[in-house]
Amino acid sequence: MVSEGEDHEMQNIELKIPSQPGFEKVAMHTAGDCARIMGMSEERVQDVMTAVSEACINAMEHGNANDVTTKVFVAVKIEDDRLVMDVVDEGRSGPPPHDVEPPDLAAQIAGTAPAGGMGLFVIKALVDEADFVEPDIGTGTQFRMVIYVEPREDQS
Amino acid sequence: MSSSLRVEARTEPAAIVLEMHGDVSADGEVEIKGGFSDAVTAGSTAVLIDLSDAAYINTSGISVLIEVAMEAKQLGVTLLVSGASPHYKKVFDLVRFTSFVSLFDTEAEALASLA
Repeated sequence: MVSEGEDHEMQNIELKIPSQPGFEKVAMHTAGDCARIMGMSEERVQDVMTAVSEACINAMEHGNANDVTTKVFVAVKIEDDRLVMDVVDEGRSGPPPHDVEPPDLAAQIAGTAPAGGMGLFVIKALVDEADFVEPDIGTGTQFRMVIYVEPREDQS
Repeated sequence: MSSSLRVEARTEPAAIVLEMHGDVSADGEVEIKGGFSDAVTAGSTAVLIDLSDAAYINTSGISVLIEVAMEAKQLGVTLLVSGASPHYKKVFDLVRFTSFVSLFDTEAEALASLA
């Protein structure tokens, strides 16, 4: 279905989902279906789905401050050998974090740290590239994830 | 949006099994914590959370499971988890959840570990 060199603009999918838990699954399944169309392995499809789901939840909780009147914009672009996914909130929070520390579950289990803080860490581990970028869609915070059809040589 | 998680409790000789049917997310917090609380109230010293029929798990749901693990530790209750798909086992490993909760491929293996 995806031909090499085909106009990428023709293979973009854009969604605007409500900032309400549960709707992240709409974006998750859409991105997963795109990954399958591209011929990704089921393992990578699952990685895509979890990464998009977590990015949408972060946008709802942080970028949109759990305001149910806001939306999360999701753009999925099918390119020759990779899937590029942008998740954009409405910028209700401050600047995004620069560093992503592994969650300290020992402290969470011990009750000395609040539960949570795992989403960004998980995303960065599952996809090939993930970072906040200068927004070219809307004015909110834009988070971009890239995953290649085949794992790159520098990745395990 | 209502929770899309249904928790079914089943009593086995070694533990009370909490079957998760649906989505393990923050929306299921009341169902998950309620199921655990009911199991403890019933006198169980071991609780097995079975994820075989969990269609979707996100980190908000993992946070709920961590809170249950915290409570289990405080109460001296053994908490086990079984049935996670290979993908979710990978996610559990990433966040080091498996350092604190014993994870088994099947319910039978989990229950056998309590014998």
